[in-house]
Amino acid sequence: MLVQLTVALAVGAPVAAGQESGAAAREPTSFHRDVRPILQASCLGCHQPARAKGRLVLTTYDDLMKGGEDGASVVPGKPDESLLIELVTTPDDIPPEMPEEGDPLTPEAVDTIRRWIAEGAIDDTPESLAHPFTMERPPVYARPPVVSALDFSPDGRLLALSGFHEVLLHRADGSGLVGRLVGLSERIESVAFSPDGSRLAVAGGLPARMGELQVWDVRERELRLSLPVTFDTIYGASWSPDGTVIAFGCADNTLRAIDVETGAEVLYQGAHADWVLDTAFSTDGSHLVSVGRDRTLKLTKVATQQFIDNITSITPGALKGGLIAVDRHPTRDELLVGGADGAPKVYRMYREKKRVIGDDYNLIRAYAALPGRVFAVEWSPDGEHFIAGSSHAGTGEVRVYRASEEAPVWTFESPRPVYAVAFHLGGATVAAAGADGVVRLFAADDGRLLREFAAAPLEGSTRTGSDGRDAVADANTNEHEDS
Amino acid sequence: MNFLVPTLLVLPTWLVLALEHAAPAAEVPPPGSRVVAVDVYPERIELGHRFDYAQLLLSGHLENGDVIDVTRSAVLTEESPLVEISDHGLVRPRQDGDGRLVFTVEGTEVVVPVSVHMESATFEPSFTRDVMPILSRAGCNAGSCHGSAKGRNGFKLSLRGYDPEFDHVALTDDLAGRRFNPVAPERSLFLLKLTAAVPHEGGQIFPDDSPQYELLREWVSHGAVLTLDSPRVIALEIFPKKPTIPMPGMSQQVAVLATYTDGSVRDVTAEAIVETSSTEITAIDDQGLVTAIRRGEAAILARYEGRYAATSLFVMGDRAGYEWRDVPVNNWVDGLVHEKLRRIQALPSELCSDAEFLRRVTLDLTGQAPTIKATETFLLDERDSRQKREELIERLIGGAEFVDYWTSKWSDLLQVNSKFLGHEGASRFREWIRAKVASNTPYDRFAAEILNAKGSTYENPAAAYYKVLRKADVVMENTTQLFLGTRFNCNKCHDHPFERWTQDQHWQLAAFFGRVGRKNAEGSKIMPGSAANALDGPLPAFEEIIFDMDEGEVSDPDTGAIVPPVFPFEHDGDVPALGTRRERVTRWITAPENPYFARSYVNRLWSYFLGVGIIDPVDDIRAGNPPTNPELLARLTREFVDSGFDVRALMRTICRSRTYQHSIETNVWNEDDDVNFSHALARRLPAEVMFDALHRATGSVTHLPGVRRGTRAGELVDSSVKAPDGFLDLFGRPPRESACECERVNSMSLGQALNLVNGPTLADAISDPDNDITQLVTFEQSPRKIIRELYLAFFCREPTEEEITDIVRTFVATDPENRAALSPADTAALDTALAEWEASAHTALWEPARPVRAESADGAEFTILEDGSFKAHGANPERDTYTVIVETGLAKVTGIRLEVLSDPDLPAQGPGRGENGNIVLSELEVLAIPSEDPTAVRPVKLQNATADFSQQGFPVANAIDGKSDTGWALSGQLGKSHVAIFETAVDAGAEGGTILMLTLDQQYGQAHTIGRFRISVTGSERPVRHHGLPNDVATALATDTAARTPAQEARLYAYFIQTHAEFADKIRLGAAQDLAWALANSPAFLFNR
Repeated sequence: MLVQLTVALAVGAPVAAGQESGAAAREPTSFHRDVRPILQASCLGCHQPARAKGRLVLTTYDDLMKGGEDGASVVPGKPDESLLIELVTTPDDIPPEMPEEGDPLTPEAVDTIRRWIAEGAIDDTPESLAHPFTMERPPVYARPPVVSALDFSPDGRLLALSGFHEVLLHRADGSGLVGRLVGLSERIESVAFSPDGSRLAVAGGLPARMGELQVWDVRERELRLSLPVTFDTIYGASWSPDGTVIAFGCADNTLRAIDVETGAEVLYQGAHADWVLDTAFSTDGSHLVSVGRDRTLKLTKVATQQFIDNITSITPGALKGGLIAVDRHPTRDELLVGGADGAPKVYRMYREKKRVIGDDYNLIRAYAALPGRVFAVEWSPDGEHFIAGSSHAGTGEVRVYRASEEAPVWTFESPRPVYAVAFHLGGATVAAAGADGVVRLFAADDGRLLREFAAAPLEGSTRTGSDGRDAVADANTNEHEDS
Repeated sequence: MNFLVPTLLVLPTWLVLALEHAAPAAEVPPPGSRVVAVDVYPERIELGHRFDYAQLLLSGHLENGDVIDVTRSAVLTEESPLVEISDHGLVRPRQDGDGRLVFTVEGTEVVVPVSVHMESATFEPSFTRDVMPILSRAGCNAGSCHGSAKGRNGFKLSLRGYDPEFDHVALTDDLAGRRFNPVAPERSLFLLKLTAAVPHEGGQIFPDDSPQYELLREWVSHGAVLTLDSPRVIALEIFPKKPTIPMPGMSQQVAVLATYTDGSVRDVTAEAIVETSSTEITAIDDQGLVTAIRRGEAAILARYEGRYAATSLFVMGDRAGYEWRDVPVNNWVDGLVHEKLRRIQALPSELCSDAEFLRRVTLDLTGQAPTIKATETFLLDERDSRQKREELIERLIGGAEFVDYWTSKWSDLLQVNSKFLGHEGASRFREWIRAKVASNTPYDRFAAEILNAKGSTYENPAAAYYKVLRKADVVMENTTQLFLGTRFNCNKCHDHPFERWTQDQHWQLAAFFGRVGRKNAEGSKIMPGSAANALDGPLPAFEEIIFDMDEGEVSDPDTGAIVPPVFPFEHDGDVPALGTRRERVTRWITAPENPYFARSYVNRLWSYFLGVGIIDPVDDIRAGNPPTNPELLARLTREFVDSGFDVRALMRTICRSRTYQHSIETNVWNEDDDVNFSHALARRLPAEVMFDALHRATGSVTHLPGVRRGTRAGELVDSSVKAPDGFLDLFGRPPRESACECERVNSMSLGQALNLVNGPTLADAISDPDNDITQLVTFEQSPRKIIRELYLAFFCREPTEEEITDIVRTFVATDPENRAALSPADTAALDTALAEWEASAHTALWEPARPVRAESADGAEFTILEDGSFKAHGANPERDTYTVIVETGLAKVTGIRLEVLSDPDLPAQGPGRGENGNIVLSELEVLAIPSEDPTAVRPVKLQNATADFSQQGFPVANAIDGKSDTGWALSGQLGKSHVAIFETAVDAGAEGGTILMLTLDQQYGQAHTIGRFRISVTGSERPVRHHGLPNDVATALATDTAARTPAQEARLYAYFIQTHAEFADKIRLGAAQDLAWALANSPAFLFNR
């Protein structure tokens, strides 16, 4: 119809108007097809979960029907009694009350909403969009996903890594996919096995909409906890040493921690000035550290939720760019950090000397910089080595360093950015993955490439992927072949 | 002149409404005209892939020659399945095939062949070629959104997309690829944001059924790869070229075409950013449709992928009745100006008057106002106006004041500033410049001598250029702005947002200046506190040696890599790669072929004389700032180059043109033009010029601190010399800290207005007791002449008769209103003096004594007239003695007044009876006889004789000295009435009235006897005497203050002022000063017009 309309406009406007009303009369008005795009274009700037002016959210049908502080927005069947219609129209030429910013709704748009309400305000949102993937109906990949997180299980048998809407459980040696933990979160930012290996913490969410912390029973492949938190994806999940608390960072600049069993929030701390991207507990679990885009490594006392100290220097310009990753030494309270300046650094957790302006006293050692930004770091199980992965101009590097030397032991130049690295608990193998969706296993001592495998099973890999919509649609139809 | 009120721009409501609604109005020809032919662009449409498109432009030719845009009014007569056409005339493919589009425009049929072949070629979107333009066009990377220095909401793009690699990383790599999703492209966060499917502060940029969305999704589907090797845009063109919109309210669609490095040409109208240089004249919607708001010219600028194109667009407006009238031309400048005026249907103004020209050209060439003498000479010169104007130009150019003025102008641009150079250094640099100006050094050589300067800053002061500018990038930025009129500083940190210059080019050009060495001369001291800035530490304020080093590189601030010296563009001039880097870049800059060098200076000079550059601002030459008259600028440039860069010749050409000599008065055909030189523009006098003009006009000698008395502001070495009230800086004298013309501020501010009203500079110059105004008032009595002199001094013209009449009355000292011209102190002094005078001039109140009888000893006869006077007639003896009887009711007589009266019947009008009218009263004696007791006769002794006038040697006291051979006489003031007053030594008179018998003995001879007289008496308290006051004054004074009439008050004041010259002079001086103040505060003085 739009095509017709544009041609018609060029031919002559009156004809176009006639055609439009004729076409519209034949079909019932659809919330999903007709009304939702109007709300999306004109209303969501203010009525979204993160802002919710007038305590009204208009992102979904349910939100719309729930209404805001002034009551219900829509009375089905009665457009003239619906607040929504009242607010976007005026009897004369003065601008309507809504939208507060931007142009008023066109008469056609108002008419569409009015008709939809008159026809009963029916929700025709496709079920597949509300909950597109489930354990029974896992995603299908026409192209490899970006791997943003991976972790070896403590028993050394599993490698968990992030996929699209799921965590993929591979055998640790790369010999096969053994499980798929499909959840609500489209994007997985972090995966972490509990100290005893029985649980898997998954941090992620729907970008710019919601964050979710999932806790899975690894053996049963069962979701034990799904905790919605904030309005954006969450980052950097880490377990307390006793396995009772999970900490994570949020895009609302908070550092939080929850009780694993109840999901209750046990820590909430707002000292960061930008997104919090990774967390780690002290060896005794009494303290928590966090890094973020605000270029700081912060120390927080768990029991009191108090911000204690900036571990890194606070001199302006001392640190370039944000910090992205942190890992605590397996036995000592020493912190390995990586970030935008590419140089892995080790800091002692607790300050032993009074801060002096300009000092970086807690820095123990800075290592030769990787090209680009370091996205992931991890200590070896014995704490003698560590691994770091970086991204630079479309390529990446994986390096293993000896803790006592600035230069790396070995370097692997990855064709694509590296976002996730992990040390196998045996200490002999390391894994790295990133933008190309390929997991690479290396010998930890010399960097020999042991194995490469796809992070997710690819379907129809011969397809050019010229139309991504089809790829996801296919995912639904091919669901059973995949399991 | 309403210079304090800023112009507020208010868009008409209809226009705002029109712009808010997407569907543009279709053009209809103005009433009475008809479309006779239609041009179509492009002539055929070929669309090669899904995202290809073509902007259609249909131009209708009217009978009268006007062209209107009929793209939106053309009717598509056959629907084509091949394409869809937007309401703006943008054609996008729908299905493959060959066909045609048929339009009719008012009966004229237009056929456009169409060929769509989407399937034949695979189209893979390229990040740099296809994706970046969409993001730029959507404003994602604008400075107000994600292009800001800190990005927005954690997402940062390079400003306007100057760094595709950075942007690619931001989109695909930040936060481990959070913003795109290869598995489900349409779930990519950046696409969800753009369509507002997820909350986005920027709102919905485009819907998910738009071609832009489709293309971005396609790019993600192909892996969201970065393709830096895609063809890049090398040139941009905008169509139509130089369009004219006939009337406000009508519109013109533009199309933008890009040419790529592989030679391909694409229509980029939908992604190009099209802007107007003037939102007062045109408005542009988001699809390149320009709507005219009012008559005028605007540059339409298209920006796409770092390339720029501009065309001028003219809104003609209603010109009914316009007809070009041939106007005489003085030289080719006028011809080129007239061509433009003809094109925009404007008429030039008349020639300015000789007086206006004299002031204008003198100020422009010398920075000084003409003297009164120069003005009079020029105005009285009766030769042909053009001839004498040309002679004047010739005389001014090269004169001492000319050299001073242009030395100062270059000192501004070259930052002759003792803060950087020390006083000695600044003086020497100024002297160096002066020598160059004085010898009319060719401009290219002048520039080259500066750019190549080496050695001691004392021995070769031009080297101070590198003492002031101490870093390669700073030298380069300054040099490009100064000598090429181009801003090369924006692209220091990122590619230039408005021009083609890149960040690389900034450092490459800077590299040419990387090997300039600087070292202290032997014995050179560091001047304390002479820091240019805190980071660089103190500059050596004294002598320094500038030299060329064998090494020294400039490195990229981001990568640290050494940047080789490369010119940002090549030109046809021969620039051999020989010599030092500085020598090479100097040859490149100053070559005649350099398209910026001569042109920028010509334009700069032009702006000095005409008030606005052909390109303006003059030191911001770029595609987006096109010349208003390119042909004129080109010719000026060519002539300048051909003359061997002769600056004076160029000035001569400009000043001789009729264009320069236009009147400031506009006509109906040019009143809305201020950029095409159709009339003169009022230009506020620059600070120093104004300062000097004030002093020249008042004749007050300047005394600026620290320089000899009489030093003109135009002669100062630098801005370290300040007027005590900050006058020079307040009026926008440049601090000389950059080469930017913008340092000089010639606008008018409230502070300046207040300074002129209240500030000491003007007040002191005017009230200076040694100035010309004081002299003038002292030696010139005629107010007319004073007024004329002041007009000549301030306005360089004669005052009109009306002006004189208006002002003359302020010089009338006796008008009480003009007391306002006095200073408060003088006003107080006047009040005191007036009160004292009134008190001291205590006057008796006279009443006439009733005349009874008069007798002559020698046969004269008397008649008593109605006014109570006696008039003698009949016998006219040589000598006589009158006995006069009068009577008064006063019981107490303290004084007797004798009035000797002029009379037309008397010879020479009297008051005497003799031939010359003189009298000699030898002796006066008085007897008093009480009316009720005639026997009690008593002599009345008289004393303290006073008179309004006494002849030399015949004082009135002689009349009561008891000697008959002395007397009171009046020679010298004959023909008018006089009065003598005699105080009685003791009170005379009695209750019930008194008869007075007066004996007037007149023994001089020659009939010096009184022809007519009257006797009055007073009983007022002594002293009773004559104060020399006219009777009406005396009467007024004698009247009680409260009982005086306004006329009496005025008469008293006037009399007082007349008789107290010191106050009269002060009032006249005050009037002259007030006039000077008013003239100085007039736009006719403050502006060069």
